[in-house]
Amino acid sequence: MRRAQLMMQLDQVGPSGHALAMNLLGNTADAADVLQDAVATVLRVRSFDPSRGTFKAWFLAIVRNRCLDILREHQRHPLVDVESVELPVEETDSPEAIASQDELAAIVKRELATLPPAHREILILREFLDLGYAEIGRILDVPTGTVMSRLHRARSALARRVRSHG
Amino acid sequence: MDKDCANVDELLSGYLDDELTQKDRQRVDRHIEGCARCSARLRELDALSASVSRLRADMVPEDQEEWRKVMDNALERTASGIGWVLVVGAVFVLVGYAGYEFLLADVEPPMVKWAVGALYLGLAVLLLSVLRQRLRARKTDKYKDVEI
Repeated sequence: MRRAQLMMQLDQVGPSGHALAMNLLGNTADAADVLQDAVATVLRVRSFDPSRGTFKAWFLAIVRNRCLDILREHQRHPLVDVESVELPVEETDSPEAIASQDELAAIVKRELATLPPAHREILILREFLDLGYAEIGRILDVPTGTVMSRLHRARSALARRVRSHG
Repeated sequence: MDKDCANVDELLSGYLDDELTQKDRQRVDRHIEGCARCSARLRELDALSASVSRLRADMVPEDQEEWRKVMDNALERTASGIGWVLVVGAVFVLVGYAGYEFLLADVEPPMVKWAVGALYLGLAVLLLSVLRQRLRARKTDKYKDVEI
């Protein structure tokens, strides 16, 4: 791919990468480092293959992998195997019942920031970046069915935490 | 929670995101019609998903300024990387050529040739060992993230 074309594509997907890095790392300086690394990698490698997904998915996968490297290096939040986390479904107060929308938003924001990265990343990709399951699957390198179950576990974990404020 | 509820529960996120096959969607529809528990669970997840989506404006930077800075820094970093590769490559070629010329030169006595060769070799070994130490320190320095 030509450099000018790459730069144009990067301009389109950059803000999404920025949002992903910021929300995964929770730190502006680390997010900027990750993005610089990702852009440098794209400019160096230049081997995007359109048959394997969109440019956005490719770029976000690079950003996501670099974020996970940084989280591992810092060992701030050890990654957990979300597939093995048991999440019992409890029938208690719903989020609507526990607070007004603003209060609920504040609680959700706080709890989201402290979820394990494996839960956080899939919620960011779906809820903030509005990506479909197929594209999320390409970024996380997992099948679409796994995206659905991981997303469900992430939402369930968040719901359980939000409920605990009720 | 019975087995049917557990199976349907796994599908609720896909149902909300409209990512189910028609068959699975109908299965969820049929189940929640007769199951108050799963119906409440669906409403809970829907409300939660809406709450998270409402945070989008706060969590996704709208302005491009920060991204521009990142791009500029990345481009500078790439350019300086290319510059370093060129400089280091040129130095290696020049030093190699100078060494080659020196070995072929008719210098008397030969002892001088060996001494100068040993001097350069010693300097190269010292340089490499310092580089190795620096790299090791960079990887293991627990205070590297401390801002002063």
